[in-house]
Amino acid sequence: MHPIEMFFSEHHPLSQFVKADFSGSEAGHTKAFLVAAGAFAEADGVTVHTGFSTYMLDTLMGGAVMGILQKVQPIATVGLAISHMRRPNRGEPIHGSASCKGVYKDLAYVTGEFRSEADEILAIASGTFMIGTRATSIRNKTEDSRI
Amino acid sequence: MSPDPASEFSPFEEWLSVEKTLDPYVFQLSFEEHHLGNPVIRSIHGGVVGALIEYVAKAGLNFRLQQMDRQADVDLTSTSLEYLRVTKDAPVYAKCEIIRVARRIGFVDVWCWQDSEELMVTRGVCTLRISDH
Repeated sequence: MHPIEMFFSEHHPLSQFVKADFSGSEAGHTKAFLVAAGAFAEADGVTVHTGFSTYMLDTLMGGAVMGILQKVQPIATVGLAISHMRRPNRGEPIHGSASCKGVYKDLAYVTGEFRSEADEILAIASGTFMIGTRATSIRNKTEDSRI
Repeated sequence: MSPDPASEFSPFEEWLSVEKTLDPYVFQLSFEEHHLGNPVIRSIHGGVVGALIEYVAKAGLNFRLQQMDRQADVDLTSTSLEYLRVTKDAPVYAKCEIIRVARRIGFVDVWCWQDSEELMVTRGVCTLRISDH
């Protein structure tokens, strides 16, 4: 089982709102089939907010980083850049993919994208993730940096 | 989850649990359990804060356009986010600054904090398309 499937289990808060199938994910490459969740719908009731793609691509790209780790370690998003070509419609099927391109000095570099059923690009993203953060449940949450 | 048809908020606003403040360019996200990224360390998912930044950029630019008497639709086209500090399971505040409103594009900076505005947790630079009616 790929780490993103374990991370995104029924226990994860996000799974209440988004059902995703990560079949085909291997090592530093993650795939997801999901639908644009109604919980993210805009006031028009037709489209979902761009925040949906931002949230899910961050998750999918983080999963690609988890897939290359030799041991379980916390990771944290350091930077994320996303271009939104089109907001998905509510309930629209989406194919997502992400690839960890490399790790240099504890920073993982990742790309990701969302496509429609017709293979139209919906959103593209690139991001950096810190591997092995200091975040623990007993840290000083005010001043401590996870970077 | 079914949206409440009587609600003044969109399903996304309810999920994000975001509200206006007295300052039209400042918004508050009330922490909800479903905002957690890692339930063990109880930090807010980076994607949730990213979604908040995109929401605030759009809402802030819409407000500015109203002030300018421009009837227009606004669509977010790109966002660049920097995660500066770890978040905790507490409210997040987000403030935006409209950098420039051009004919077809708007540029908005957004920054988020929890304990104090001087201790930013995340900042974002957003570009939005403006389509006049």
